[in-house]
Parts: sequence; structure tokens; C-alpha cells
Amino acid sequence: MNKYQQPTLVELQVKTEAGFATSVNINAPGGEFDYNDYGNEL
Amino acid sequence: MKKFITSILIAAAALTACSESEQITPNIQNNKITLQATIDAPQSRSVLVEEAGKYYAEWVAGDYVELYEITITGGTKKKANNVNTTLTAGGTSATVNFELEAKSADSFAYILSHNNASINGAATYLAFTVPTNQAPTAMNTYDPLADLILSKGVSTATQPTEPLNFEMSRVTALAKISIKNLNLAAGDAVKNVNFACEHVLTGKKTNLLTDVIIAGNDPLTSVKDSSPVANNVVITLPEPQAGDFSCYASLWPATLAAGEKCTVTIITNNDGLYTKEITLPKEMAFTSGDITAFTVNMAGVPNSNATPEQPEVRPDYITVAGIKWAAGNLEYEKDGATDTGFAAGWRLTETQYSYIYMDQTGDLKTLTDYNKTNYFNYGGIADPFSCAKSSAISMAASDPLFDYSGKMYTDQVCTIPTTDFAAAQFGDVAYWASNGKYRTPTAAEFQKLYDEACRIDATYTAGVNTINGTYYYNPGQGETAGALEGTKALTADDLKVGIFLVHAGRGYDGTEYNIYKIGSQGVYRTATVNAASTAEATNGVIYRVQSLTEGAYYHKSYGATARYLIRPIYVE
Repeated sequence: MNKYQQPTLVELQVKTEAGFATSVNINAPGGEFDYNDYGNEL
Repeated sequence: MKKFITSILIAAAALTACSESEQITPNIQNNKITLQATIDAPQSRSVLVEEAGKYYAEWVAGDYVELYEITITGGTKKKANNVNTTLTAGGTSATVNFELEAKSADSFAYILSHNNASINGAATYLAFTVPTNQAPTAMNTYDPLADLILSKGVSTATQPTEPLNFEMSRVTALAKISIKNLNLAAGDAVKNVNFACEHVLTGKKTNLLTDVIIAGNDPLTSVKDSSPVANNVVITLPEPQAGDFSCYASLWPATLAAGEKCTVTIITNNDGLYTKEITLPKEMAFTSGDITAFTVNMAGVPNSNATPEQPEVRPDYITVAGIKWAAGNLEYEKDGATDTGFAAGWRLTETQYSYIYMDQTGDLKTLTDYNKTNYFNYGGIADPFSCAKSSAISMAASDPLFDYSGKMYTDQVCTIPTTDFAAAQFGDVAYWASNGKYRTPTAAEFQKLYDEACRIDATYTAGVNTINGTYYYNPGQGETAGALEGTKALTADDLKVGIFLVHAGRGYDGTEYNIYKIGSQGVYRTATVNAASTAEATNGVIYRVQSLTEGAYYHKSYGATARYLIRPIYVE
């Protein structure tokens, strides 16, 4: 599974003293974990 | 060079509606413009949340975010800026600030991480350490500092003037370790869980930035071990656990093969140490961004730090009928344990009920076996300590009984006494073997026991064995000394206040190895012989424990090599 595919959008806006703005979009993970039960009791 | 001041204010509101849009609120102060963004926290990270059987991560205060800026000039990379900030607000919101310094370069690259990864000056690698010692903030989550979320690299021709999109992925894997059936002592609780395998699970690893991250590929593509790495993780539980429990660890991804050896070690508040060695029955994979759950059954695993249960200290004696009886029979075992102060191989039996189990066919058939361990001929001493009086010895007719209890001699007819234990050859074997601490009872003392104590047939059950014998104790209030009817099942407490003369059987002499009457009879030697006897030179007194109506009596088979028991008396 490609974790980068999980879309959690965090938008950061950046402005400088010169007055122009840069927005940074962070497409962060943190969606559902795949839960794998090992099964065998150790 | 013009300096850019960039400030970012992030407020993460964890429990806001599940919208993926953000609210941006400008805030202008001292030429810095900060903006507030709302983060859809349930889709965030660092605290594990279970909802309806599904697992998510959320932001927490203290989460660490770092932005790396790399300049590329003439094909040479250089770390230009790395600015980090910590989410300072807890739970539902947080604030961060970045400042970027203006740079000139042919091009730029940016990487964003959660937690403090590091890039070297030449920007050839990025490193991160998954700590070996982890401290989850709650039982249902993992240590936030062991969590690594990393973006793909983003390349730009200039410092950003346009929106950047970072795609991030969790690099670390989670293990959910469930512990069950741990045999904790009362009042104790688990504080640490250590999980170790043959693969690297924690420690420092590096990636190749140029080839991997900057190129926008999965950073795990070329991850490699650095130093130090560890094959284990130690989890310090946020709350001590006394029952079954589960805890989480954050690990480097690894695929453990079937047959791989793993170890789970548990440490408790009271320094209990429980270790279970495990051979994996099948492959176990820890994968980035996934949870791998497994259960360790600790049933039957002992506490290796437990103080061994101390056996009760055997008293020097138990007083019955005013006589201080040893709390065990005299015993010899060649090369065996020796009681303190005793001659080598000599001791008192561990318990009052100890004796060798042999049937009529005899388990001990050879003289070698026989001399090694038995209660009857005292170690195969060629001519055991006793006295063989004969008519050659002139004794007063009024005193035909001769007692050698607590005495030693250098001649067999016991006329030349000695106090030298090394020189002694005859006399009281119990006195000799115990270096004077104990002695063999006289016939009169056994008779006193017979006359002044209560006696009853008795059994004592030790494990699967039930031992027969006769029990003697001081009469209680309203009781009269003498024989009692019935059979008494003895308790451990009974053995502390009375003496139990076991029916260990008897042998005839030192040349026949069979033991007879096991379970129905015990014959105890006295240190009393008949000095006046001419017909039976070895005639002496024994005390036979069989019928409750027998006292001490003469027996012609008293002989020096007769295999009888000895229940010594403590010497004041």
C-alpha cells in the first residue's frame, strides 16, 4: 500500500515582508492504518 | 541578499469537523504575517486512535515538524536551511513558526518531516533514529518521538513563490504487543516490555537524498543501517499493568522470517524478570504505516529474579518427654551433602519423614550402591561406631547396662575412652558424625519417650507419597501419656511440635542389602548394650516402632553392623 496516497490536507500559507505569498500544501498521511493480526499466539 | 522572513502559524484543531478545507486567518504583527490553519486532526498523526475497529493517528502537542531546504548550484547540493518547530498547543490545537532565509541557487529542493530527522551539510543523506527506549504517552498509543513521517522531495527553480505540495508518508511501522497470562506476584505490576529479534528494529538509518527523496521516490527505497542500531525495543509503560495488556512500539520496517528467534522480556516494579524465547512459526512483517499485532502467552514463564522460597530452617531439636530430639534421622551419603559441623557426608535427614523407598526386591543391590546412600549402615563404615561388650569386660553386676551415648573409644569393647574425634573408632556414631552436636539416645531415654509422651500411628503425605510411622507428642491439657487409637494424618505443624519415627523398615546385617518391613516397622538404635551378657556378645537395646505396646527392649541382632535407624538427641 502506498501511504502517500492517503490524503490529509494541511494547508500552510506563507507570506513574506515583500508582500508576496506562497502557499504550501502538505499532503500528509495519517489515515487509517492497515491492521495486521499475526494470528499465531507466541 | 534580501532576507525573506517567513512565518507560519498552525493551529491544529483535532476535533473539528471532518472537512479537508482549512480556515486561514491572517494576523499581521511587526511586519510578520502569520496565518492560522485548521488541521483536520483525525487524519493527522502521533496519537493512535481506534474508532470502530479502525486505527488513525492524531496530532499532539510536542509533535515536531521540520522543513529542509537544499540548494543546488552547479550540480552541487548543499543544505541551506532546516527550520523546525514544535506544536506547542496540546490536543486540539497547535502553533508552529518557520523562518526561511533568502538564498541564491540554480534550483531548490524541499523536504518536510515530522520528528527530527537530519540532513548532512552536503545534503547527501537524511538520517533518523527510532529510539530503542520508547515511552508511549498512553497505553493505547506509541511514543510520538519514535514516529517518523517524511515527505517526498519537492524541487523548485526558485525559492517558493507558488504553492508547494508535499506528499508525506509514515516511514515507521507499529507493533501492537499483547501480553497475557503473566504470573505476577501479588501487588506487582509490569513496567517494561522488551521485544528483541534477529533483525534491526530500532536505531539510526539513513537514506540517499539525491537519488531517492529529492527525486520524489519512497525514502525507504535505499534506506540503510547506520550506527547505532538495535535488534530490540524497550517499551516503558505509561501505567504499570497487573493484568493482560497491550502496548505499542514504533519500529523500522522489517520482515522476520519463519523460524527467527525472538525474545520477550518483562520487567516489573518489584524487579521481577520474565523472559520468553520465541521461535516464529511463520513470517512476521512490520510494514511502514501499518500495525502488526501479535500476542505473547507468558503462562508458565517464571520470574527468574524471584527469591527462591526459603525452606523452613530445621530446628536443632524438638522437645518431647523432656528430651531434645533431632528433627531428622542420622543419614550418610557418600559424596553427599554435609550438615554444618558434621563429618563429610553425614547429616540429618532433611525432614522427619525422609527415608529411602525400597521394596522387598531391593533397589540397592550392590554394596557400592548400598554404601552410597542408605540410612542403615551409616556409610559402610567397616565396623561402625558401637560397642561390643563381652564377658571379658568386668562390669558391676548391679549395672549390667552400659551406655555409650555421647562417648567415643579407641577399642571395640569400649574401655579406652577418647575425646579425639580423629582417633575415635568405637562408641557413639551420632556423636562422632556430628562432631559432638548430637548423640544416640539411650534405652532409658526411649523408654521415657514411651512412658511420658502420647503416641499414635500416623501418616504424613508429601506429594504423592504417604509415609507411615509413629508420632510422639507431649500430652496436651486433659490428655494422658500413652498409646492412642486410630491413625493421625499429620500436618506440617504437627511435625514442628512432635517427633515422627518413620517406618522405614530394617535390615539384618551389613551383608544383606534387602530392607524389610518398609512402611510397617522402624527400628531405632539405642546407645545401650548389655555389658553382662556372655551368650550374646552384641546384645543391645533397640526401640522398635511397630506396635504401640512395645517399649525399648533387648535384641540379639543389635550387632554393630545391624542396619537400624538413629534418631539422635541434641547435646546441650
